[in-house]
Amino acid sequence: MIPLLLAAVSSLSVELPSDGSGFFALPDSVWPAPGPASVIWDGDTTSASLGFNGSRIGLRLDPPPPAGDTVTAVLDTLGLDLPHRRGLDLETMDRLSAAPAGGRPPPQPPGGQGLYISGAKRLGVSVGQGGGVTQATRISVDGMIARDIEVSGTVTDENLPIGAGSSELVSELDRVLFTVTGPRWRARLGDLEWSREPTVPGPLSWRREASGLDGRVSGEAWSASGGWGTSGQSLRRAVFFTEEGLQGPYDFSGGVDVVPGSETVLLDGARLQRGITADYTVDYAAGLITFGSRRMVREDQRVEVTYYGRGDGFRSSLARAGAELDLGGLRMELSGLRDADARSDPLGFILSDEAVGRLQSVGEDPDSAWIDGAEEVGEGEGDYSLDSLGHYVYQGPDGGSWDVFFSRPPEGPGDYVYDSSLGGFLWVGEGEGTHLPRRYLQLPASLQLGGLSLSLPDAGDGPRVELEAAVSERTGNLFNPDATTGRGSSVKGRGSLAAGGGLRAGLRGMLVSEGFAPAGVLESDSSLAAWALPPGYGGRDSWGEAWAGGERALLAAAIRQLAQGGETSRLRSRLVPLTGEARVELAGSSLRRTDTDSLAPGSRTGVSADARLDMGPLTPSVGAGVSSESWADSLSGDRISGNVGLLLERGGQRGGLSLEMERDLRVGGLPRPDRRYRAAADGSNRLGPWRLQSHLEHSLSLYPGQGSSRANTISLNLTGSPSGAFVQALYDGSNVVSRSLEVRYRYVGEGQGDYSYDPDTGEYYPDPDGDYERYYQPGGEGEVVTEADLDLSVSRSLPGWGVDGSLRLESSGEEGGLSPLLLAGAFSDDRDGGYSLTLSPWWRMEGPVSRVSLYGKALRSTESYSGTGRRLETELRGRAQPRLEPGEAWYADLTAEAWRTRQELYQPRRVLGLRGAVDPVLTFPGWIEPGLELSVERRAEEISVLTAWSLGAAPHFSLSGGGYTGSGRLEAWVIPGEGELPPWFFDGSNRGTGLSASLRVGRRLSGGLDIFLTYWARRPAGAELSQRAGLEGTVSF
Amino acid sequence: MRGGASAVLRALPAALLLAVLPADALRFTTVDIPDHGQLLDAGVDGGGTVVLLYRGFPRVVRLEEGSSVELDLAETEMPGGLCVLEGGQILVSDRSAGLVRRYGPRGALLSVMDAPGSPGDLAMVGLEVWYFSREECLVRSAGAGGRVVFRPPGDCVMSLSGGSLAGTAASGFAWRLRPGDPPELLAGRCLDAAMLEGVPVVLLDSVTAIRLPSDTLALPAPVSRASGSSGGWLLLWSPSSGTALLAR
Repeated sequence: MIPLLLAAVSSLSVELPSDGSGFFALPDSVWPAPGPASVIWDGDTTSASLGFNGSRIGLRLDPPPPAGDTVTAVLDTLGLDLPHRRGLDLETMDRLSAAPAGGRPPPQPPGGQGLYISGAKRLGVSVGQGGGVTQATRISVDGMIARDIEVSGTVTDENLPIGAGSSELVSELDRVLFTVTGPRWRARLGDLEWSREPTVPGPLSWRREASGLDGRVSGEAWSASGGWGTSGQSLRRAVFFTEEGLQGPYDFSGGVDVVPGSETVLLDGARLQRGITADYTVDYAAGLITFGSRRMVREDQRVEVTYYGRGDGFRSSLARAGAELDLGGLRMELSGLRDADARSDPLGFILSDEAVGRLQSVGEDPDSAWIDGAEEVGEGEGDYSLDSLGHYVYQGPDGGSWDVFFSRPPEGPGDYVYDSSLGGFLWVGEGEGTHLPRRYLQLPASLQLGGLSLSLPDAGDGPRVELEAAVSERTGNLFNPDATTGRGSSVKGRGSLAAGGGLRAGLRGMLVSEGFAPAGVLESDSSLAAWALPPGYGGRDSWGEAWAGGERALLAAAIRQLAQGGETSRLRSRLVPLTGEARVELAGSSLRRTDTDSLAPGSRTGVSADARLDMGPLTPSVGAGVSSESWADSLSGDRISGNVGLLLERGGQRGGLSLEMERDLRVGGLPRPDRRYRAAADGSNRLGPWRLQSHLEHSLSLYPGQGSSRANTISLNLTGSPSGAFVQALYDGSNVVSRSLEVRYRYVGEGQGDYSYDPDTGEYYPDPDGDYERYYQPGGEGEVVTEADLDLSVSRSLPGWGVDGSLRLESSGEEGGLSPLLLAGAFSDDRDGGYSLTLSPWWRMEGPVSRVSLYGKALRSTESYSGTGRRLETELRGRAQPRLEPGEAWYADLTAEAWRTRQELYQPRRVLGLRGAVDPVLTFPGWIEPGLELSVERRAEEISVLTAWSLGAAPHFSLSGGGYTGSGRLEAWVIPGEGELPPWFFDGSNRGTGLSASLRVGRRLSGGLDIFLTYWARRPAGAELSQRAGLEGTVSF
Repeated sequence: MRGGASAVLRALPAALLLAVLPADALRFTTVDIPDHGQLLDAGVDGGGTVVLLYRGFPRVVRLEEGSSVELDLAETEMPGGLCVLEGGQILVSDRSAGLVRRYGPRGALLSVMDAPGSPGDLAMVGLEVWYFSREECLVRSAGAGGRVVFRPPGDCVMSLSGGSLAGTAASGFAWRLRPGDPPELLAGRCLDAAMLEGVPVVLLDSVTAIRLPSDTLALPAPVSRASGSSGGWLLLWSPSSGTALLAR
């Protein structure tokens, strides 16, 4: 089409009147050819450019001719017989309440059939200190390549170095997915999630994430699908009990790195939502979960977490296949999955001969699969030395002769702890620590599963049948398959028949043979709880239940054969005598476990009654329950509970109150409270511009005798927009397990980090061009404490001025105490906590001073560091930055800053700093902005009476125009005086003259190809010059 | 003939195709905006999933198929703007911290970039992230060694939108910004502008949008903001309205 258009180019001369704006609208029928045009005005010929004003195409002329003048425009035109302005046919589709599910517009690109590909790819290489190869990709494909065949796909990844060690990080950031969809088929390539997760889990339930491809074809009454891929992640599951009022953190991964966002969390069978203002938060690196203050965690609630973990495992190969057939109402599905670790493809470690030998000699016990984590590498090559007692001693980077890898044992304590001040591990005594100098190995395993499911759809009063059958073969250790391979089968089914009067009767159950291994969750934890089985119970039990009932009545009897011997029988009943505005529900259950050696025999019986009355805006409720249990190895006795509640809902306001009482007469096991009282209030309210979401809950546990414990959870979230300002206050208070903080440093490349290591003092110190970056990791568990924090932020923005401010208060104190909830500890040295206040107003004005911005900060923080005790840090900082703009061609930023910091860990340091700078910048809009920053700075340490000052000059520029883009900065500074400065004092700089430079300039060579030149250099005073230069190419399309 | 075929392709390829090919009916879906307070920004990914940014918690709501997913992005103290990538990843600027954070579709924090000067709206153009510095009243590129991209006249409020080759900026006026080239004025009067598969869409007033250079759309409901995605999705919305319009 384009050549045809070009062939039709012709020249046009047209007279146009001026309205004084400089824009000359062309007639709607004229299609100007892209390129320059000329205008004859007042006898002179000048150039004009094509442009737009609203929907009109025209010519722009600068300076604009006076209104009323007429100019003659000469330009090339395309011979198109189409109007420029075209109204599209508009049609409003369905209205959707939350998401545009199912009602999205059809997949028709605006241009009709065609493929739209856009994106950019960068590839760079640099030489010198920290050089290497970098790349980044962003591609989007979308459109229809033929009638009814749609293509869509995306590739995105970060600018990450290519090379060993980066693959896992890249897989996290990369998202690759291409889909081709036809009328009856679909093919996908990229990062895929495969799952077969029915509402109730069974032998054929599974979920996997894979990088690979899959496809699906379908006919009128059938479909078939299959796929293949690989994965560096493994699906894991953890189930545990909670403690009364203890919100966390609970360790659910055993130290395994958790793939961010991959978790599914159930609390007593109810799905929770992640978020600091929602139900829970997760520390993915440490595998810790903490429940939010929106809900108080109670004793013996069961938490089920499924997640993808990654670490020292093996890359696995995945394949799946399936087919579905609709046989006139009977739906049949065949499904198969193969998940096998690749023995030769370990992730994150080298499979040495020692490791292979160890794996060949062990079975499936992860505790016994480890190799020695220490290796003697020669003096000055390792970080540790070995003392005469056989303990490893941290000596700093390359300060010793041993490289030692420490890890947490799967179960039990260790002998070493991480010391944040050292940056390494410290021996603290046998069984007194958290880590061992060992490298635990993951066992490579494989699983093959295949099966069949049959179902009759719900047809009102007709029969309902569902059947699921599977066979499996699992090898628990591929290095020792003879001893760890098992085969088995399982069948799960349920069916029911209408019995008249709205009642049905049915059977359901599951048969599991020894050796059967599911690929996912075989039985949910809520089902295990209903059978009085412990969290994580791994028995492959067979069970069956007969039931009869309907919406208002149910009676069920069940029996379960335990895989390790013995059986459990269960009887359940439910009756709803009243429904509607007044609802009454009665329930009862009885359970007995006998003839078992693996679990204690015993029984549990309970009845409960709940009533609720809907009175319009008011809904009162009341409930009571009695249970009795007797277990041979733990608790025996009765438990009585009661509750009353009141819910108010009116005009968008919602509030609720509830009171609960529990009398626990059970004996056995550890001392436990015999009475427990809980009170809760929550609400969701609006008042004018304000919104408040609140939850307050208190729990009081009284022990036999005089002991008691208290727990509170308070969550308040207030937001509002009064008078144009935005205000938000977030308060949280609850009981948590205190944990010291491990401050860790990792090498990230020459000049790529924010910290450097000082071998003389054994400390890491802040350095803007350092080689290390700092990160934090939760340390060992401490005592249970009450923690509270308040975050307050305020923002106001008006045409001439604005202000942003924030205040954070944190406090920690005795479990159940009121003082931490009142944030009193925010100002105390005795407990972890502190405050941080920042305020940054700005003004913009006419005149030589065009802008003034101020910044103020006050900080005080007390925090427990692993191995070192409590660290106190305070900071006071003020900064003023006016901008002088006396003319249009230049401006100058002025900076005046003063600060005072205090740190106390092993030794106190108090630093007073002053800095002034002026940075005049010339402006050539749309081209280049060069500037020169001149600065002077003085720092004084009060305790060691250390003083130094520096002078700095930094020419810099920013470039955008003429096909060039870029920025650069050359900085030189001098710190005069005698004697050496400690590295922590002046960001790693010593007395003398230092230099640093950075440059990045790009040139557009053609339509979508840009070439960038990069340079980085640094020479601290008295040190050698480090530099790096590189070349990058970016293709955009 | 001046410029040759490459000049034509560079200048107006998608626009020409759009004008010459028959324009199909543009069908809008009305999307209800969940009421979590003030809506600060909105975007749409390559799959048509609408993403909303609020000032308070939850910060971000994804309107996924059949449900809405709330993400509170706890690290972000004072959000300034949102950019939704075609794969579902989201970029959110933090005015207080002077940072741009990149999150996965499920809210996991992936990376952080420097963006000093109270960053407001932001866009990804090619592989660069551009943001509007509210303190300096100009558009900068984020990250170490960020450069000045555009110094607009007039009001110190600006919305940005990006594509692989160019972006748009709107602040009463609308400009097309190409790296290395001077800004190109698209309209001397507008409410907002957005890039849609490489073609700028200018929202002239609350009831009329123009997809340059020639297609004019009379909108079925008044809106004040426009967001586009490379998948061809156009989201029209208003901070104060409880509904938005989604079209492809």
